[in-house]
Amino acid sequence: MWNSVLIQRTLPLTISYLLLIIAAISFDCLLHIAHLAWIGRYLGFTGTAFLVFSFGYSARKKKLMRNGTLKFFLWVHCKAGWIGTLMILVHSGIHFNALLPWMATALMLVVTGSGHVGQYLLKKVRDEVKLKMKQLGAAVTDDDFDRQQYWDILTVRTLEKWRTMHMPMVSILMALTLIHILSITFFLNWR
Amino acid sequence: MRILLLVFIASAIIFAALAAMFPEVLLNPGTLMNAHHSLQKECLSCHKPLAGVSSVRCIKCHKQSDIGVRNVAGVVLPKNPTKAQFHRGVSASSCTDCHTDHRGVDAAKAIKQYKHEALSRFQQKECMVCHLNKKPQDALHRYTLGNCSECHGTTKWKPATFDHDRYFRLDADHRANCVTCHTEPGNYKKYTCYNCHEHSQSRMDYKHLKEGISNYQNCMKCHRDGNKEEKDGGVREGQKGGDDD
Repeated sequence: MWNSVLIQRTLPLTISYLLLIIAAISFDCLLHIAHLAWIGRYLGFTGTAFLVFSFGYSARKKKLMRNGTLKFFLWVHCKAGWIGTLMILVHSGIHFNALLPWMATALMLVVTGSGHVGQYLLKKVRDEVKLKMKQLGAAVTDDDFDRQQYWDILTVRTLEKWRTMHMPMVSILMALTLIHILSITFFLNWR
Repeated sequence: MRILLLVFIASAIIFAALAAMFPEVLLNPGTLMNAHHSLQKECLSCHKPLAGVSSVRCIKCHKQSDIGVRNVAGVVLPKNPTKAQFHRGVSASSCTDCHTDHRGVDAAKAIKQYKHEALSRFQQKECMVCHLNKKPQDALHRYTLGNCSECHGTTKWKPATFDHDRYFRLDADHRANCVTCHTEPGNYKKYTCYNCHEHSQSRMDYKHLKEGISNYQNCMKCHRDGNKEEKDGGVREGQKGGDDD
């Protein structure tokens, strides 16, 4: 049972996603109980910063940065994305008023879920490629494998298909975020 | 990459256009009060770009001299001299000190906690001008006059900020009605201890003169609680006490 796909792959990622939602609700409740709900407003800035920081992975993929392994950048992308999403969820709070920021929040949750699916697919493809290489007689360590094969894994059709969904959603999310930030800037008293 | 950029730009343009056309749906952080319902698409009626809500925009519709007298349409309102007087006494640029919006249709929910520091010293002592109907009609308050600030702070009524223990500790033997000791209506600075059977004038005269104490008219100078023992004398700062019998 412990070797099944469900246990080894999908369960950890499902738990990660559910933990995100539970953590957001808990954190928001705690802030309200402590009369610190005003902090949520400023978590918008920090959450956005974390999400922007997670784009370092895209920069590395485009070779705008050349130092550091892709695996490391992907790890940072996943963690920064998770933390940024948590902060934005607390920032949104449990207020259902303006539609535009709520569209952005909902899409952010979809994109984060998509990211979790991407992690699952990447791991699945990686394991399959490794198995095939072993079957072909190649003896490689994990580090060698990651260095040599990571770029190739990314081009696998499964991940290409996943990317055709994930990337446009990210673009629309960025547009919604931009309009939200511009509208807040427009209406807020900055003096 | 180019496609993604196009998707981003197209989405941004579409959402910006929708936000401009339907701000009440896409941008409104909360329902406007009933009286402002007609302004739900007119955000700039109240909001100055990059500067938030401007009191100047409030005054455009709500002339200071008309508040409490007539509404925006010019219709005369039921008499409310307190409201009119209060608003004439505050600065014309201070609307947003008390008033906000986007908190629902009920205008009462759009009142922020008032900062009393904005009032002059004289106005701060005239609590009843604004809090006309707030004075309780219980035994404690029946004899008080208008200066609520002697016992209450400005953030909330309860608990009262007055600490009787500063002057005299109300132990089990002294849990009487206020008027038992403070017989002069509205003047809680004056008191008498001779209204109880325990402290008759003649008995106190005898007890103190026997001890060689001649200046015993201000009981609290020595007795800060119900104990019989003499305390160190000295009236605390700001306290005027005295028997008025």
